Amino acid sequence: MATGDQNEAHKLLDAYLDGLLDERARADFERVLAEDASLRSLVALQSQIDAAIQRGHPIPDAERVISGLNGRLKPTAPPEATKNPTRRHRRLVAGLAMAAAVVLAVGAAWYFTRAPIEEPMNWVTQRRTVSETYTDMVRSGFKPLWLCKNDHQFAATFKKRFDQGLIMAKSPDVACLGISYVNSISPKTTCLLLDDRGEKSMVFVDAVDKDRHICLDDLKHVKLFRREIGKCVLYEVTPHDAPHALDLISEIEVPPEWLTEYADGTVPGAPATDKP
Amino acid sequence: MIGPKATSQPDRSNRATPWSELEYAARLKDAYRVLWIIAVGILHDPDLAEDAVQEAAIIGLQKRDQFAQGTSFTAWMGQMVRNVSLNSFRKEKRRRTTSIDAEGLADELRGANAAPDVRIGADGMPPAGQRHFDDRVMKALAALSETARTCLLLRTIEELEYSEISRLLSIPEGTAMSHVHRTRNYLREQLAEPARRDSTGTRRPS
Repeated sequence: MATGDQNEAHKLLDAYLDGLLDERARADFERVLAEDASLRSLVALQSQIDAAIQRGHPIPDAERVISGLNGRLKPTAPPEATKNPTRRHRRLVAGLAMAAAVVLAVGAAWYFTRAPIEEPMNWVTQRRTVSETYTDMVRSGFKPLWLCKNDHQFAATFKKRFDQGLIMAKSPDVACLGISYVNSISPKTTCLLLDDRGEKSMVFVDAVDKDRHICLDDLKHVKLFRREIGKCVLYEVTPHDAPHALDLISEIEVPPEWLTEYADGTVPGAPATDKP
Repeated sequence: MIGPKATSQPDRSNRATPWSELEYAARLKDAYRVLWIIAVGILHDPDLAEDAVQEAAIIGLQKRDQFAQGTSFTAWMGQMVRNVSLNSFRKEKRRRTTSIDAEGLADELRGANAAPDVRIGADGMPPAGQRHFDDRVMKALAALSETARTCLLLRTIEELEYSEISRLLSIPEGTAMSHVHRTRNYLREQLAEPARRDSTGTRRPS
């Protein structure tokens, strides 16, 4: 059992990690942190544990539950499985019922067709998986939130959001259509919307310590590639067999004048601070 | 689908017209991440957790006229998910007569594939050392009580405020904080130790 002093130190550490310290207490803690290598190691360890917990708990797509729900609602749904159904047998029954019930009277076309999304999408407050974000972005017209004026603004944007400047080389085959802010890997995930040889692809950028266990769920027609660049983790979702956009992106030092010269393109409602 | 209210039903005068299936499904989709985490916190198995949420979703759909508008849908569904998950957990425990401790049971429930591989290109495969560390983290999590584990997952994965965790799990906010603090301490102790400590039996947080 840790000593009393150690207990207090751990409590203070947790309060710091949870953002519960006031400004003065946080400043005091950070001063101690700067001088105490063992405390820094503890913070680093906690960060690794948190990342491992996120990687170890990939949250499945909600569509499967919704689909199964709609399958059970159908009046002529197949009879219940045998007394002790296996888990996969129950899912198969639900899946077959869903396949048979293509359109329900209550407008389940939302879930079963590829109709364009008409209601406004709140990309920032509503959390979505990478798969959901890509799917919804395509269905809503694949329109980015804004477009950088130039490379300086592009680099400054990522420097401000993730403390890491990034730059994307020009390519005749890959065009950056713009940037959107989404709530995916974390509430601060920043996306590049791209035209890659006529196909829609996206690059999701976030802090490497926010990385989570990303997979593509049920999306079959795209592939997922991951790369770490400096303090950032990048995931490219693309119909192609190779990550064309990731190969164009590299880290870059951002001089102070770039940061002051350009706002990061934040629009009202999009997170702009470094609040975790 | 929804017939006249039975006379024995409580008069929930603060309830508006019950939701349509589509409205219910939309709410469920928004709450799904948290509900799945609650289930996996109890069951420590992603497949079982998904099944539990689906089962609770069906129950919730049938009982949606009992939901009091203005209250938290996620908390309401969360309670159902907890009940279904706990029932499932106890059922599995009865079935497995060879399990003698919670850690062993959690390992068995987790099955051979603890975490699905990330389907990413060769460029992004996690290094072998990271996989080993991740396995140790998951094993340490399996030793926790279900409430403590759920509090930690809700805080770590969803970054929920303690007040929200408290409401979801119907526990005091201080208790939620205490669970997270103790489990973080426990994990830091376990993961900072050499790997051999895992085989000598672990000291679980009180």
